[in-house]
Amino acid sequence: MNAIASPTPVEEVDAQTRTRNAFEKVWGVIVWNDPVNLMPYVVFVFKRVLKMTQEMAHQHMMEVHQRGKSLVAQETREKAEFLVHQLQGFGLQATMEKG
Amino acid sequence: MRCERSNNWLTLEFEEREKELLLYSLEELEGHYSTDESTLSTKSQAYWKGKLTHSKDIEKELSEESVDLSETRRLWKSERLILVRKWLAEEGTLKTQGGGILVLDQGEAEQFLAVINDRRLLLALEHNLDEEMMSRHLSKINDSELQQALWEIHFLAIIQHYILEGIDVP
Repeated sequence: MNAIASPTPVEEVDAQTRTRNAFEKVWGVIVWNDPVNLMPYVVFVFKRVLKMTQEMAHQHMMEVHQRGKSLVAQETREKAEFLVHQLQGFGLQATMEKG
Repeated sequence: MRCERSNNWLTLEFEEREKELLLYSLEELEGHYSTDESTLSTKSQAYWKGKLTHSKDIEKELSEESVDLSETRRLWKSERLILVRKWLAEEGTLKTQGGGILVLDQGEAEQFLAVINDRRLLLALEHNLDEEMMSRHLSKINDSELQQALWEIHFLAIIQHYILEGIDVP
């Protein structure tokens, strides 16, 4: 009978905690507007570094241009750090923020 | 200026005046890339140091846990210096009489874009250029140094446009 018992409440709490922790570990990569980088250049960098489609890259570039910033990726800390460096390597103003 | 793509190669053809301007930018970059970071202006040092985040708390957290990536940035500088020196080489096709030609493969074309973008961004930083300044007509600028900086930024942007039309992101 015990073999098919439901998971205990303690295990449910653990699962919730694990899920919450997993989400807390997501880092956002943000690209900020700047007066120098050309729009088609930003699109190129998004395609090159973030592997975006032309349409997606254009959409994010427009968001950067019109709203001042765009969340371009959500990754683990290590990957987000790598992407920020790659984007900065092409001269884009990119940062990473938690959550 | 002309830009032609053939298979994986991009050929940039410059008229004499364009070539001279490009040579000037590349020579300036050669000087910049080969200068010891500590002797660069504070703005240029900040450019190469970079910032991973705008948040002080996160910055502290990252500096405690992250590996030191400033070495990576130094590597970019030295890699770009090698390329710039290659493009500026005496036997190179930019040093011939009259116009000039640069033939770049896909990877080099991407590097070329990033290199001339460095020059544009560094000029903008040194002259505190904002959106309004960037769109101001050159004839409306009295400061000749600033006028020249803006002229160079716009000229390099034209080259970027040509290349961006010619390259394909895999």
